[in-house]
Amino acid sequence: MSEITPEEHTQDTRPAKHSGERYFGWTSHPKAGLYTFIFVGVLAVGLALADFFVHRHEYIHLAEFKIFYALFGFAAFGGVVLSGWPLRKLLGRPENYYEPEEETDNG
Amino acid sequence: MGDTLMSLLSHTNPGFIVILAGMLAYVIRGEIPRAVVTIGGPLLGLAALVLHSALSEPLATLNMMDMTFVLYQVERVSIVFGLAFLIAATVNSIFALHNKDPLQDSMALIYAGAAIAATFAGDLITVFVFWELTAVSSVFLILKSGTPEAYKASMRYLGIQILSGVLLLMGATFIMGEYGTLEFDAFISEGEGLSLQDDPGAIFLFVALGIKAAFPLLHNWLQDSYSKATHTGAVVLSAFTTKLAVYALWRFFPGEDSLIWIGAIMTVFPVFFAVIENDLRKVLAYSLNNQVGFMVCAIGIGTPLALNGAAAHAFAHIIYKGLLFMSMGAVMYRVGTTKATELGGLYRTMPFTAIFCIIGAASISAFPLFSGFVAKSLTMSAVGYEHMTIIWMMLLFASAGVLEHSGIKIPFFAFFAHDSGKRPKEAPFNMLLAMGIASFFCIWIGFPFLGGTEFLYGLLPYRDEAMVYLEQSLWTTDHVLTQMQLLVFAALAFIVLNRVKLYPPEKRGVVLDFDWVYRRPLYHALVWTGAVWSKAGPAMTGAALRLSRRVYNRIEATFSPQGELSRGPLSAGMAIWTSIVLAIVMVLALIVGPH
Repeated sequence: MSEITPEEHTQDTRPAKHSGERYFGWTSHPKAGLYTFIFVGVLAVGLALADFFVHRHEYIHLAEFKIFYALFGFAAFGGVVLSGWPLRKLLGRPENYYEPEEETDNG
Repeated sequence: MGDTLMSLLSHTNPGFIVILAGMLAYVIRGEIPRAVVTIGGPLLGLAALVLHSALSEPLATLNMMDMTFVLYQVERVSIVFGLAFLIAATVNSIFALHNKDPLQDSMALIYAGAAIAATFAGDLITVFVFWELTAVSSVFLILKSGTPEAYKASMRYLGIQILSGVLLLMGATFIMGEYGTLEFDAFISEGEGLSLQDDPGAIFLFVALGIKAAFPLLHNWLQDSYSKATHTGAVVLSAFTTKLAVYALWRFFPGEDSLIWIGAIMTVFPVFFAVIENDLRKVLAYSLNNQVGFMVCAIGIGTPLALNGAAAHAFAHIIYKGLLFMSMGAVMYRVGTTKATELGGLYRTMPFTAIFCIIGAASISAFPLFSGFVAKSLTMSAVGYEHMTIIWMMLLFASAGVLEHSGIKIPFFAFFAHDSGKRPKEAPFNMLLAMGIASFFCIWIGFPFLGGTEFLYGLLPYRDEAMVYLEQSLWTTDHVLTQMQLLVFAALAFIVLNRVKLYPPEKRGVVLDFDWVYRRPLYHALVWTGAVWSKAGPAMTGAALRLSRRVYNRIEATFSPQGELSRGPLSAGMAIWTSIVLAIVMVLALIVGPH
């Protein structure tokens, strides 16, 4: 069994703290995702409810129904992200896809 | 002496000052003197713009070859673009202070100066000269990366940019033929441009501008080159080329209907490419396409509110897009890559870069209190006022898309997400300072009561309409509420999809786009043609040579002085008869011809 040296006693074995953790360290907390979800969810619900108390003046007929913007934002974002799965299969290629042929031409 | 200097400055195109500073930056080797020149040049240009002595009349002209070249003329719209260009040039010089690269410093300023000079030019030839100068100078910002990929991308970039210039010149030639002059005042006025109907000059011009503005299917030079430029070069590139094209579209084609659809398509299609792209600088290039689409669409609508929207959007965009490219430039400088798969967790050691990136992301996403909201609202409202439902829906969709690729993807995958384990140093002070200045503008312009919104709206070409919009529509409860609903629910979609693991993970690789057509099938067709020609060519040229030699020998054998026709009495007789017939024809022509 090896002896523990005085240096090892005083040495901080935890990962070094970086300056950025002071501002954003909370994002690495195991529950950060859940807390963010709850915060944004509550904010979203609040904004949606506010729509029933604010008179909107719309120039586009379609936008007149309540929480139109909320639904549109959610659906558009979701649609774009989910389209990424088939699109990547269709359009994704290895990183060196273009280079081998072009390089042979240029020596 | 002071008065003379003031008078000289008030009649000097600010772009010329920046170009001169660029030329000096190449020969000055001391770091501090070069810093003074690279930052001082654009600042002196700003002073020249502030001091300009008159609006809408030539301030400097050159007479040559029976033509008048208007080297300096200030319009209200050119102030908006020119000022944004000058701010960008100053900030970019600060961002590149650590570079110690005279060639890049020089070319960056010459490029910026050329764009500024074109913005304040008053005739098409002057625009053409600086249009081409932007192409030739900016290519060095890609070349200096020094990689084989950057070399090839720079050659593709140069080819297409020069093509744009040639088309511009062809357009100018037709316009010269039609109007007898190339001075803008002769064929356009503020808010009134050229018509594409039966005007080949206008069509050539339109395509030339379309290439530089990266219209759909003409857009790939942007993603191809910006992602391979140096870490400072991409920042510089992001500011000028496409916005110079937007400025030119504003001047030449306001109210051109086709621009509405072109712009709307431009806002939508890059969103899908950006979501699967791994290289974050390429994501920013797609995002640039998307943003320019809003401006192009607004120009197509052509109402005073929409034209204000295009100009305001360009001003805000030049700064926040530069800020986003700067944050990725800082990452590139410290980590050596901007591929999302190799990044993550950088907030630990680059917190200030992360904060500046988030400010840029909030601005481009048009969150209320940031510059994008103030600028983009004009365009969205202008489309709404015209009751263009489909176009409006496309732009609204694209607004949610911007939040996905620039608002969330860029900061999230670079600075947060999974920890890449990389612990690079924070960006150098000069980079942080440049990002800080750009962030200041993003907030100052967007935040009410700070005076920035009034400043920007006061600059716009249709100032009165802008001020009415500011007072009656911009900060209304329903406007802020609906924008917040759109963005917060979009952000909620991101969080939900991430939690249920439906957000596609970043993956190494390239994404095929329209450039596949000329980088694969067309490239292979050319290689095949070359291979076929190398084999068939000698045989075909040999056969052609043999055939032409036989034909020549036959002709010589027939018609030469020693040939068949010259031998015997037939030849002499034919010569005599030919002379007689020719003489008769001449006499007849003299008698019956006009007197």
